[in-house]
Amino acid sequence: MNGMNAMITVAKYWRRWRDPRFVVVVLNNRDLEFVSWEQRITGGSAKFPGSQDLPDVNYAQYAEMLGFRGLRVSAPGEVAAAWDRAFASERPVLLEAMVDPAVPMTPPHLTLEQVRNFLKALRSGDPDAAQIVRASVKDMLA
Amino acid sequence: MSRNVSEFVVERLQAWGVRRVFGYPGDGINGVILALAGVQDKVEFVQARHEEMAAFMACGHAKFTGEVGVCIVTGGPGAIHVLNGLYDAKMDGQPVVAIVGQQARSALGSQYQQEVDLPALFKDVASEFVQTITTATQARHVVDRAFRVALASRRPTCIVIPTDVQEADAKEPPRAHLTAHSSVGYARPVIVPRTEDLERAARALNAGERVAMLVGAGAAGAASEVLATAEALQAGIAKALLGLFVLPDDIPHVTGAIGLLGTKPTHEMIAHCDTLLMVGSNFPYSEFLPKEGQARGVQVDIDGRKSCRRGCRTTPSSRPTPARRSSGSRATSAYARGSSARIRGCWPRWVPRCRMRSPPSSRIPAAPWSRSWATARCR
Repeated sequence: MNGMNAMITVAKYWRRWRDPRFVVVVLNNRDLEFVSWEQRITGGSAKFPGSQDLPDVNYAQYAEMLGFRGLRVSAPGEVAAAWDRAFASERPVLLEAMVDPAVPMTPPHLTLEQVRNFLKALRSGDPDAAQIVRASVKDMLA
Repeated sequence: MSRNVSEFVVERLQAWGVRRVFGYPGDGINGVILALAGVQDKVEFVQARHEEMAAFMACGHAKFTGEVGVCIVTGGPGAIHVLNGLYDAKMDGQPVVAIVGQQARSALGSQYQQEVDLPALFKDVASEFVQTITTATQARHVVDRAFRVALASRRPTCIVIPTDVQEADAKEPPRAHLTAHSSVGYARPVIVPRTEDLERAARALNAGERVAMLVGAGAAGAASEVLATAEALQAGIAKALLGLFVLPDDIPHVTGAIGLLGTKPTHEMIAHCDTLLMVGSNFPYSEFLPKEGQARGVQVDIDGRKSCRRGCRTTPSSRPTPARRSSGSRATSAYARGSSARIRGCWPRWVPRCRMRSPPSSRIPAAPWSRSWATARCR
């Protein structure tokens, strides 16, 4: 909540640091995902877009505006090179990874009640239902 | 030249070893802020964007340096903002001192602008120590106690200073009835269990066939002891969120994180253990711990108040060494051969799933935090 403000404080002080390397990773899924999954798995309801969807902010551009290096990664193949650049940077880096809000955040062991709630949530008109089913199948086959 | 209470307080901070403070100014704390301006070559003032961040930064300073974290904010709304960061210090056991302004004594009780009952506001988060400096001769022992109590209890404490007291002339307490003459410094004790408790813990652990360990931030700096204990007990090691950096995930004993975002190997280990050894962890989620009656419990914690809350028996100690000291040779462990093979068997299936979802969780550099958290210093 205060993260973007705190970046302004970093912008004010980083030049005093002995080692300027400081990497902030933003997993940008445009969703308050942890709580969305709690709404589904513990609440048994579709996620409420009004409370869960986040505005699409370009965090990498915001970082550039503050004088950091902003890197945006939108494919798995770009991740390694982005980390190399981040660790070699002479200034703080914001590494923004565009990730999928539909990947189920399942606990290591699903209880029957959680599965029941999950299925009930998907049937309750969850806006991400189709994507979630696709990601779940992919997850099970992995 | 005479100095005022604010200048005395700032001088006392330096005597306690403070070289950096975090804050956000306001007219309720300007006396102290201006006193800091006079010593800016000795005490760095780090300006946050919001009082809440100043408190979080002070707590972060404590975690990464082992020193007391100090945040300085104005009264009223500034004081209210600081609460969340102080709760971080309270929950994570870090020494943080908040110095908070207050309206002048002459206005208190009149529902003055931005007047908040600050001792009441801070009573829960700074339950170890919150005090208002109401007169100059009180400043010395209030500052000293705030620091000493923060260090001794590893909790946040709070000093409230009305604006007129900030500006008042500093005065040493006279040697008289109803005064206090405190001094600077704190020596951290080493806490060890009584021999009989240590042996009781060792017996409980040795009796286990399938020992699971759960380590938290309190095990920082004791990685080799944790590992030696795990080897002696043929135990697996699960890690609570704040303990992720204690040991890397690629050590064979380590099963990774526990909890909602925990690993399958950890889940398997906890579900089938007959003994649980908790080291320096405050892990709160019972549903991820053994069922009641399933496992014997031994808990190692520097703070006796934290023990036995999660269904475990207690052995307080500052270092997790009971098993290594007194276990001797162990009978062959079925866990080591059978069950643990099952747990390790999860890894090849689990790791690709983790990769698909997110990078492994525990690649956080261990050095600064682990050193400091285990060896809080004071001057």
